[in-house]
Amino acid sequence: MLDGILTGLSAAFTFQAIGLVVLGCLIGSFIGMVPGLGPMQVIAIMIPVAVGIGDPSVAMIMLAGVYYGAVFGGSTSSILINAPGVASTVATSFDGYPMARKGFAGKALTIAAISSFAGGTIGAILLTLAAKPLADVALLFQSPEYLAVMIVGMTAVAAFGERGRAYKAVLMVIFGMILASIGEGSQFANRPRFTFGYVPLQDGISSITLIMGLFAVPEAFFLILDPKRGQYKGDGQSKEINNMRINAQEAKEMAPVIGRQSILGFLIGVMPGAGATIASLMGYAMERNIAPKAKREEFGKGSLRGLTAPETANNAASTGSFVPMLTLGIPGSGTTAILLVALISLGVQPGPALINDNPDIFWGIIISMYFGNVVLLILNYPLIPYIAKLLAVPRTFLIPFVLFFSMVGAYLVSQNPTELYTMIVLGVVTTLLRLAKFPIAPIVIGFILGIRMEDNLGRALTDPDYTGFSFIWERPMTLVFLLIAAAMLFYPMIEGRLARRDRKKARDSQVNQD
Amino acid sequence: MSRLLSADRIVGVILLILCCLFTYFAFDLAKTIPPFFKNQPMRVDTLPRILGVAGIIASVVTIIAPTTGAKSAPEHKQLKESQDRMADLSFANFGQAKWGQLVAMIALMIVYSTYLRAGGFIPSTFFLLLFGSIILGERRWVAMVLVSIIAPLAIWLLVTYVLDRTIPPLPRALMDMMRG
Repeated sequence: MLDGILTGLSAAFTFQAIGLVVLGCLIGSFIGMVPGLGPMQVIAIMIPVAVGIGDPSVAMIMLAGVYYGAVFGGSTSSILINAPGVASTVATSFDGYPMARKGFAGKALTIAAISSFAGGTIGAILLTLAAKPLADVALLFQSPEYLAVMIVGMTAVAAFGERGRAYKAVLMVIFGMILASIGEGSQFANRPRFTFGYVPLQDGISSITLIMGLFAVPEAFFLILDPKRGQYKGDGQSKEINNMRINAQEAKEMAPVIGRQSILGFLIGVMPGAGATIASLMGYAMERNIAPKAKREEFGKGSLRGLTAPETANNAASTGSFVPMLTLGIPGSGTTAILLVALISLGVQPGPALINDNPDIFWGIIISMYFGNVVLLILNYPLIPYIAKLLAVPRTFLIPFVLFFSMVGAYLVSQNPTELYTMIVLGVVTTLLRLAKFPIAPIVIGFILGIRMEDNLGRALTDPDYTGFSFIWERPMTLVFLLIAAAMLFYPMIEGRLARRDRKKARDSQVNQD
Repeated sequence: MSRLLSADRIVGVILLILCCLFTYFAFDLAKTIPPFFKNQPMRVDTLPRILGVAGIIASVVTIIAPTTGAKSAPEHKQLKESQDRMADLSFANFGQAKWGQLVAMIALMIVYSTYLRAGGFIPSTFFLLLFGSIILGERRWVAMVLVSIIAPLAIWLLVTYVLDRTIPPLPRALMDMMRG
């Protein structure tokens, strides 16, 4: 592990890498502050720049910086104007904004910065400890296990992402896999499929075009449709940022919350589909429940614990979500799915072999997490009052720029208008799906895993040791994974049905009493 | 009636039709497989067939599933509020949304996509940014024109010299004329 850390340090501590992390953090913070634009949109827009850099380890280090910057930027706009850029920072606004309204905006930003730093850093330490052993176990896997683990990953995303409506997420995963099957994809599809003779479709849908169409374009469309998007409850005024210091007693109160929420957040982040939003909301709810009565009443009115908990948990969870991505090559969230797209676009094959084949990338990303957290704390944090002034970019300028960057990104893939048309169609379809409240992240996860699943299914089916699908019951580990997947998929449905039956029973008994 | 025609069901029906078409084409792929590959355990149409059938089942479940009741109850008021705040527009506030602006913007994007190559990056982007702002109701002309000139130039320089990618900056006819 020490060798790995040294490899990571040498990858992350070059002049170019340091410059790009700093730049990434700044760009991420700035765009992440804009209501509606979160880490997924910022990273999607920055992927063409990363691909242009060419060196995968440096490019990934920059994108990791963009990611942390965007998460931090979202917290800043939550605190200052009560407009969370993304769902994962909504819980931050519960107590961050009331604190800012009371005149403690500076203090709230400091608490957020320290909590993020601590959560992110403790998360990175846990990741360092967990990554290598997990990747070693994963190296024992053969094609049937890979196939089963991918199915577990997809099912978990569906089950955790959409409680009681898992079938909608499953449908979206399948939709993503169907999109992936267009063109030449898997090594077993020895000819283009579903192109209907249209040559530009032979290479399939580019993953960069797909994520622009799924994440960046629809967000711009929603900003057009709803001019007040993201600014529902705030007074729209940036708060005066004055005293940014916290005292020893406040630091003492924060410490145990940070300790608990770092570990809880990290563990939630590791589970595919759970992610930073659930971690921050659970962290907030947990701290509220265990706080002494007097402190509990402060929640929602500017509580220090109420701000520390979600900020720590969401950063630890963001780091935790890198575990399945780096060790198994399976994205557990929309953001890591987009980072995986970047990795694949840079010509790197994700999976357990990554740690041995490309140790500079593997450890470079991990080291860049420590580094990104430090950059955020010492560089971004003092600049926040100045960056916050730029928050007032009018939507009439912002939206055309978001669309323009998305289109340039997609156009650079192959300089073919077909990419742009595909992106527009995907943008419109995604907007309609979001209006109908269908989850979008499962589409990109299905898209990324689709081809790799086909490869692994092909290898398992053509393996002379098994006949047909006999690998399912002949390899115990595969069977266990598939049973876990089935349990995760059906449990929420059964739970929903039981809950409905209980409610009906309760209603009936009430009617009888009446 | 409204419960029968929920958003889930409308999307479910559309996806069911698409999945049926996809399944038809997936089974149709067999015709194109050369005889040698026909008896392979893994063929070009194996996964598409599985996906098509799985898609049909998932669409049908989406259509027949009850539209209410399965939602988990938010733990307290603030969590409920957070869900509402991050939610996209719902069918309820369809009327107030700026649909005209959206349609105009999509039309502008299609025009930009079509004429980007022939019109050159800088002039096409100038029009995209300028008309984009106009569509959204901006009328500060000096700022609009300045932004629409500076931004394409800056991005073109970035793409060309930093990312090392070539995008023709000016209209094709003009570039040809300049090359002589």
